[in-house]
Amino acid sequence: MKNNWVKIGDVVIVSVILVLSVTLLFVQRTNREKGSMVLIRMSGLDDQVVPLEENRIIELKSSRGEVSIEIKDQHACILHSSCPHQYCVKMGQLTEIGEIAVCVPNQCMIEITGNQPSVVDAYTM
Amino acid sequence: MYKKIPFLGILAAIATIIFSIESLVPLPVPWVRIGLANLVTVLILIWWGTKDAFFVLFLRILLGSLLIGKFLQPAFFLSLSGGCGSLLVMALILRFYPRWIGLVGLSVMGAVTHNLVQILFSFLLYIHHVKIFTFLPFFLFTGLLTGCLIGFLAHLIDFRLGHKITARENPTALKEITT
Repeated sequence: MKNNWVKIGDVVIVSVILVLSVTLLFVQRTNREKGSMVLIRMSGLDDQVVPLEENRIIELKSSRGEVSIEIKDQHACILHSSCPHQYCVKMGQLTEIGEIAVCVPNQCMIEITGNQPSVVDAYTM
Repeated sequence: MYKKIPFLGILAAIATIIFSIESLVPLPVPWVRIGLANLVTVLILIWWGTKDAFFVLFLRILLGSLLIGKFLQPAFFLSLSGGCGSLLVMALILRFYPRWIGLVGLSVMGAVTHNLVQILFSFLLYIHHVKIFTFLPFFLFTGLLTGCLIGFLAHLIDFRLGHKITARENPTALKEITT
């Protein structure tokens, strides 16, 4: 009774889950790719998709506040924002697909995307 | 052999206390808990079956979240969905229990399902961003670790107390007779 409490199924379950988590982690690490577009959404304004090749500074102004976004050398970042905590500015430069910087007080979000625009643009339940 | 109902009450109380105290203990990584309350669920599942385990699970989540003041908050719904999902999976693989899988496999499946269902529900109900699935391998791994720990503890308790609580034969006594 002392040594047979670990059954064969336990070993199978533990090793399958271990392999699965390591594989998923590995796939995630290797699948990062540089984005080519940046999607800019701000509450009250139309969404914009801007290619990362253009070097420009975009100023957005809505009833909630002001945000300025810099696009330069294949990266995008939020330069200035009128929010108190400046978390969106501290997100720094975004280069890879899926990276986002969100400014909650201004209801503004920038996200790096690939060539194809995202198929799903809204969820409903 | 003891009566079942008083035992379920005591175990529900123990699970509630563990659940409440555990939510107060800080851990270095956010959103990670050992899930010690699942120990009680696993033990009830193997001692008395699915129905009683569900009963104690609901009681534990209800009372525990009332006690720590998280009733009907996001954390409450996440614990409820995670708990139901993990117990459902554990009940489904219970038929393989003593023969093919042990307590470690049972509780690892429970812990991993708990984490997956919580990610899924926080995606469906609150976050709505696919990026949340980045955490998937991390939560699989933590589920594995905590599941192994809970399985080992459950084995220790079941080995010492299981034959006294249920009508099962005492494995050590049987061994003494045969040798």
